[in-house]
Order: sequence, then C-alpha cells, then structure tokens
Amino acid sequence: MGVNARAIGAIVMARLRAQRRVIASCCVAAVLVAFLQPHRIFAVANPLEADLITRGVWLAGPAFFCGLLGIVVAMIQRGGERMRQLELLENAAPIFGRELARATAAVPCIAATFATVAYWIAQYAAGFAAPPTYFVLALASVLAATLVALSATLRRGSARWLYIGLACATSAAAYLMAVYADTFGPVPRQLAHYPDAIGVGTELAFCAIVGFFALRQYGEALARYDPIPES
Amino acid sequence: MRDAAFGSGADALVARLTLEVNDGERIARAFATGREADIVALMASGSVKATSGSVFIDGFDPKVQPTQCKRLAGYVPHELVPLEFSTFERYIEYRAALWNLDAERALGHARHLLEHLDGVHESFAYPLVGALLADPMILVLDRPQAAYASRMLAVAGTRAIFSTHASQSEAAAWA
Repeated sequence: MGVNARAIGAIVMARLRAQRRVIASCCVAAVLVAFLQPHRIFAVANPLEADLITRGVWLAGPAFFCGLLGIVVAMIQRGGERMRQLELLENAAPIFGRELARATAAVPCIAATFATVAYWIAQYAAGFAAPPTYFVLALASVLAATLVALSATLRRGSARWLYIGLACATSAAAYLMAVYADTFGPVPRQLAHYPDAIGVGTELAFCAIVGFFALRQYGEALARYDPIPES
Repeated sequence: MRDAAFGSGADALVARLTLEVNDGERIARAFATGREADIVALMASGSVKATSGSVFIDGFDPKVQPTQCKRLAGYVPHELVPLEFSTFERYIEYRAALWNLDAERALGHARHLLEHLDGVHESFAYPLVGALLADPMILVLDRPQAAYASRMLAVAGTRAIFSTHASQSEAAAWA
C-alpha cells in the first residue's frame, strides 16, 4: 500500500468511526421511508415495459431522500467540536489537498451508499419491485449530489447556500434525465430492445461528469482552505 | 514570520506579526484572544496561510510547499485528543499513518516519550507525543497548560519551540 493510500485509509476509518451513529441513523431513516413511501404501483415483471409514472415513482424516493441524506452527511464533515479535532490533525499532516479531499469525500459517499442500499433492500422487502437499474440510477444521483454538497462545507454565508442549492439541483436534474430523457425523441433502431437506454445513459453520464468536477473543485478549494476557528 | 497577518481591514483576525524562532530557541507569545492565538499557531505550523506578509519554515513557504512545512513543524492543538481514539495505541497508529511512519517503531517511540510525561494528563500528553513522533524541527504549541510546562519542555528537548498563550503569566512559564 502506498504512502497516500495509507493516510487516506486512516482518515476514512477515523471519520467513519466518528460518524458511525450518523451513518446508522441514515440507514434506519432510509429503511423507514422506503417502507412508508406510498408506491401505489404493482410489480412490473419487465422494467423496460414500465411507463413513465412507474419509472418516476421508482426513482423519486431513493434519489431524493437518499440524496438529502448524502447532503446532510456531507455538511457535517466540517464544523462541530468533534470534527474540528480531526480536521486539525488532518490539516497538520503532510498530505496534499487532493488526497485529503478524496479521503473526506469518501466518508459521506460511503454513508450515502449504505443509506441507498438500505432503502433498496427495504423496497424489495416491502414487495415493491424496483429493478436494479433504478438502484444504480438512484445511487449515481445521490453520490453526485453528495460530492457537490461537500464544497459547501468550505464556504460560509451565501456561497454555502449556493452549493447546497447546486447539490439539490444536481439531484433534480439527474432525476429528470433518468425519467424523461427517453421521451424527447425516437429511440434509435439499435436500442429498440432497450427503450430506457437513453435515460439511463444520460443520467449516468451526467452524474459521472458532475461528480468528477465536484470532487476536483472540492480538492482545489481544500488546498486553499484555512482551518481557522469559527469564533 | 515577517509582517504576517490574517484577514484584512476591519476583518483582520491577526494583526501584523514579525518573529523569528532559531534552532533550540523558545519563544512564547501572549495574544488578546484565544482565536488569535489559535490562528497564529496554525500559521506558524503551516496549516493556515498568512493573508499578507510571509511565513517561512526552514526556508519553505507554506503557500508553495505546504507538505514540506508540515513535516518540519509539529503542531500541538489546544483542542483535546479526539474521542474516536479510544486507546493511546490507536491514536499513535493514526498519526503514524498520516505521517507515513512505521507503526511499530512509532508506537515504541511514543511509549518511551509517554513514560517521560508521567503525571501529565493524557489529554495534553497524547497530542504532544503525537507531534513529536515525526521528530519535527520546530514544535508549535497552541495555548498549552502552564502547569505541565517543565515536563513538556523536557520531553520536547532542544528543538525550537514556539507557543501561543492567553496571558503574559502563562507565556512566562514557557519562555
């Protein structure tokens, strides 16, 4: 294991340990909402035959609720006495901003992934047959929103709210692409057997691009960040 | 530090400050507020970059070479050891991983240092031991406890030490 991987692993483990109760709470909340969500649709044997409303319902719950959980966990990565202590140790260590960014970004992403998996499992347990594709779509949306929200932790005032707004907008844009991208034009003949391929592809590509640039931006901001006390 | 300040105009958190700490020298400075002391200690250790003026640690500029600066400076925060580290060993393993030190050797070294801090509360002893693990050129202490000054200075050895304080009387104990 390389030098930086060891440091990144240590930071991730320490932060996961510090936030284990928060992560557990997110998973419990995800399970509860998945059970309580008014699905009102029947199981569809072939997800490719699902209509627009069914697809919308499949994705709305996990994408928006777990996205919200991801944003909340991202926001608590900085601030508070407990995280301040870890932050000071991490900032005093001879590691680069981009490495610190990867390590601190991994924690809310792991928490959001756990919550999304918990949500999906609860959906199945409730007899709501959301196909695995929709789990992947929801997860991609949740991770992109979480990564965008991380930049808000390094800012104050209106800039912080702007990034939170961007994270929410990312979640909404990903949802709209996944559900409605197929309705904008005829499906190419090569994709005739995969009628939702355009929606799936567009959403995944959007989330990958947004996530990449959000992580990069977070790393650059973290390299310039000064961990001064709030008061 | 030469004319180093943090913040500007009405938002200045640290006014212009000039000081030099040479090898083996000890400098203790009192500041008007805890926040100011905190920021100056962070600037001296390379964790916070001065808004104006310059800070150099053995010729390295934290704005340009932050990792080199952080290898040379051992920072002991005012905050206590994070609660996540339930044992001394776990805390040392974490610090060893961040500073890329051999875990076994770091643990042996840490236990040796801790033996010399007998009587010092673990909340203050652990961070000092952690900062000394990487054998820093300069030790930066943010508002350390005056009651433990003699034992902590003895463990720190002959390296350069810069400490920030909330009052002149506390600073006197560390000078």
